Parts: sequence; structure tokens; C-alpha cells
Amino acid sequence: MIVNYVVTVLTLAVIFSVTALALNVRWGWAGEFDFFVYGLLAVGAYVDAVFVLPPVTSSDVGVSYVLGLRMPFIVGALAAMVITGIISLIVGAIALRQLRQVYFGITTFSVVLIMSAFVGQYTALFDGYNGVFGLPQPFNSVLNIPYFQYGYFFLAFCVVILIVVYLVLERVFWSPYGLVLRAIREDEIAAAAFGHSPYAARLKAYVLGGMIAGLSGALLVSYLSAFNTDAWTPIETVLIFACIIIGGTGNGRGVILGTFIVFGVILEGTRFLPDIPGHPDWDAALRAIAIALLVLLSLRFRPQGLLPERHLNDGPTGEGVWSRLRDRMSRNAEAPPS
Amino acid sequence: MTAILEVENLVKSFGGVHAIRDLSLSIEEGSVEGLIGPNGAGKSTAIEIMSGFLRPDKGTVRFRGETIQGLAPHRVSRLGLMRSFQLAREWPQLSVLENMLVAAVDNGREALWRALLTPWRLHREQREDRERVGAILEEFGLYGLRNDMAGTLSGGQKRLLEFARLVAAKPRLVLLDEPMAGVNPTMGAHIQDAIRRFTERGITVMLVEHNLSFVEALCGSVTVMAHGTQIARGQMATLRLNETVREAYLGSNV
Repeated sequence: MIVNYVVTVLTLAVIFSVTALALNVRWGWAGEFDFFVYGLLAVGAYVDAVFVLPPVTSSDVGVSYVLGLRMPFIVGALAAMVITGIISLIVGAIALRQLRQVYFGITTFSVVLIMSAFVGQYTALFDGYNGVFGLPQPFNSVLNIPYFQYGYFFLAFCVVILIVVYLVLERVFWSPYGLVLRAIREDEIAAAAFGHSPYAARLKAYVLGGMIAGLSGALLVSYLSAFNTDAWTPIETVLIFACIIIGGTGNGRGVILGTFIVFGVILEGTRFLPDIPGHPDWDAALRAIAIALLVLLSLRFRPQGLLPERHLNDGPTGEGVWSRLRDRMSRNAEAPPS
Repeated sequence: MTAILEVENLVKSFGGVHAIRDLSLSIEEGSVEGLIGPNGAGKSTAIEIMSGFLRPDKGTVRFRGETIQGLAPHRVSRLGLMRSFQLAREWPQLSVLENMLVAAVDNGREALWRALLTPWRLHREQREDRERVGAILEEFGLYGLRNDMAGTLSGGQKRLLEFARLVAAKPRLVLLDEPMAGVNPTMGAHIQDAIRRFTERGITVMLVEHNLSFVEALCGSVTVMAHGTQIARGQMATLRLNETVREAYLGSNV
């Protein structure tokens, strides 16, 4: 059914918007070239799963994972945020001390590879490559929504989470902390000269972004009701970067727009292309090419993205066209000698 | 007069290069002190050490009676000892107004928990900040550019913005590293006015500069450095006649 399909696509786009907002805190605001965000999504997904799933019993042959606490989704999601926050704190405290730019990227990329290999091999933790599965639908033990209507409810729930995350991040963006963080991104030495600790501010942003990524992981695993190591290759992070670059680095609304473009239009739109006999993978290849092209075109023609980062606008009297024009004229009149 | 900053027996070398051999100097509270010397004398290294960006091998730096060598730069800055850079370091992708607000945010207000828990109070404080930095921008002739990105300003405007930011940050002592570097000479008068605005506010100034007539016009007392140590101190007019100083500048016309 087409409606169910649309709900599925929208739900995934909303969940990945939360992930993209998390990466935007790290990359857009703090300027960290971070590949760890998708690893944290995975950690959030696993932690939520083992909090929500029932304990492993002797009849579950070949299945093993830790905990199994049968907790409600809210507890699982909060645990996911706490654990991803702690992991971000540890990784950030080490990596943010000296590393910048591509060196930081390589380091965080390696951390994801190591974690992925570890989770895959050490089956006692999250059942290795098989992963966790069979998660109950969040809240449905209480609400008892019929199977086919549950999708609408979960979409609405994810939208609410997205709005809350967006509003919290907007508050941070416009706060002195957000402003100082962007100054550190622009020039950390100058920021230190004005009494702001680059390391402390960066670490806080890293933990904040990590917790939001963990929350998105909890949403994702609840929606898919299963998760394994195939679901989090580092290449997924590149997709999230694409969402941010296309939508508008640093701008929350732009990031959400970019995610809907990448997931809704490119990833899903191309599924309706006709099959070409003898080339079963051609639409997957086309998707990859389309996203790469979109990123390249954005970087070439609109590097700030569709919705650029916003700034405090100290307009003189009003917001109307006339007052803006008046402002522009007076600005020219009082321009100092250069 | 009391000394706001005292430097004693400072030593700093980079590998085999002795940038600072044995430097002692002091700055009187409320004064405008010059720091001059030929290239390689160690002036910039001295500034880096005093502002916390470099750690000295030996020696002490005391700011208002407190020993500060080895403190992180942002901690030194929070005590009220701030600096400018040889090349103006604005935050290019922030507007002029935002640049000012970053400088005006003082100790503790940039905490993340406050952004999450006390937004209304922050909002009110930021409105007060905007009024305050607006007045400073007006004074420096930058108010009309407040919504422009700082990266688009000219070299002289960036220098003025750097000074305006320093005024907004309310320091007690500023170390200005070559304030005329990268500035069109016709801006000289503007820069001089800007430096006078520090003294009007009771801010002590030390400036490193190669343009000696500029130093003479502004500084009551001047410290001369050569080979990593202080070789003379006094008024510029006296120093011009000083044999050691002349020699240090290798006979060039001081």
C-alpha cells in the first residue's frame, strides 16, 4: 500500500533528521570532522534493545546478549543517551585534545571500525553479526494500537521527538555557549585569547551531539525492531554528511530539509525507476551517483547549503522591506574609512 | 604607581635558539608601555609567554600579584590580561556584532547548562550586552557594519574590530602585538585613537611596534629588547640618544 510506504519513508527521514542534527552539532557548530556519529547511533540502538528485550532464556538456542531488562522504551532511550554520552566523553576527551580536521576524522573513523569488529566478534554482548531482533513496539503494550495504524502513531511520536530536539538545539545555538562554540570553530586561538576554553566547549558539544545520536539510534531500532552490524558501516556517516552539506551546514532547519531530500527524494525516489534487464543493481548505483553529484553541485554552487547558517540580525527599527532598505542606505553612509 | 605585570628572569629557548635569555620587565598600572627591539629580539615570544600561549623554561610572570606562568591562555585572559595578534584574528563567519558578543560573554555565562536551564535570563543579559557592544561599535566607527560578516572587512577595519572586541571584554591589561601590522598607513590615526580608548577606560597597554614614531606618540615609557633580554628602558626621546640601543639596531636611524 502506497500510504504505508510513504509513512515508512517519512518515519526513516524523521529519525535520520535527528541523527543529522546530532552530527550538525559536531560538524556544523563545532567544526569537528566526525565519523563517530553513526557508531553512536549503533550504540544507542543496541543499548535500547538490550534494555527493552526480555532476558535470554535457555530455549533461545544460539542467541546471546547482555541485560534483557524488559524495560519500557523511555527507559531504553534514556539509557541509550546516557551510555552514548559517556562514550562520547571518553572518545572526545582523548581525540579532541590534539587532533583536528582530517586527523580527527581518521581517528573517529577507526573507532567505529574497531567497535563494529568488536561487536561482531564478541557475541555475548549484542549477539555478534546476528544482532538483536524482535523488539516490541514502543508504548503499544499500553496503547494497544492495531498493527496497521501503529505506523501513524510512531511517525507522530518521532516528529514530536524531532521537534523537541530541534527546539532544544535552537536554544543552544542562539545562547552564549552556541556563539562561543562557533567562534571556536572559526579561530580557537582567538577564542582562547578572549577567555573561552576551546577544549571544554568542544567536549561539551561532542557529548551533546553523541547523546542525540544515541536517541536517534533508540528510535531507529524501535522502528526496525532489529539491528545488526550490517546496519552501521562507516559509509552511512557519509550519507549524513551529505544531508548536512546539501541542506545547510549549521542551520537546523536546513539539515532537516537536506535529510528529507537525500532520504525522501534520492534514496526512495529512484526505487520507482524501471528495471533494466541484465542490470539488477543499476538503481542502487544511480542512487550513489545522484547523491555524490548533489554534494558536488552543492559544494560548487552553494557551499553554505540551501538554508545557510543564521546570524543575529540587529535590524534598526523593523523587519519590513523599507526599514531594511533604510538600514542599508544608512550603513553605506556611516561606513568607516577602510 | 604599582606594577600591574612583573616579569622576572624569563628564559625560553626553542631547540638551540635562545629566544629569551634573561628577561625582566614591569608595566605600571594605567600606563602605555612600548616594547621595541630589532627583529629576533624576542618581543613576540615575550608576549606569547605573558599571555599564556607559551610556557617559559624558567622565570616568573606575576599579574596583579598572582603568578600566572604556565596557566592556559583562556585562564590568563579571564584574569584580565588579554592580547591582540600580529595579524588580526577575527571570527570570519560570524557577524561583526556576533564577534563583539563573543568577546563580551564573560566567565561562566557561556556554560552549556545555562543555555538549557536559564534561557530567559541569558536572553535579558544578551540584550544588555547588545546595547553595550553597540555603543562600543559606534565609538570605533563600525556600527554600520554590525551585520556584515567579519571576514569581509578590510585589514584596517579588522584591526579596529579587534580593538573594539578587546574593549568589550573589559581587560585590565592588553598586550598589543604590532597593532600597525597589515594596516594601511592612512589608518594610523584611527589606530592611535583606538589605543587611547583603552587608557580612557583605565586599561593598561603594552604594545610591540616597529614604527618608532608611532611608539613615541603613544608610549610614556619604552622597554628596549635585544638578543632576548632588556637592554634599556626610558622615554623614547632619551632612548634615541642611547648608545647601546643604537648599536642594537646596528646603526640604523633610531
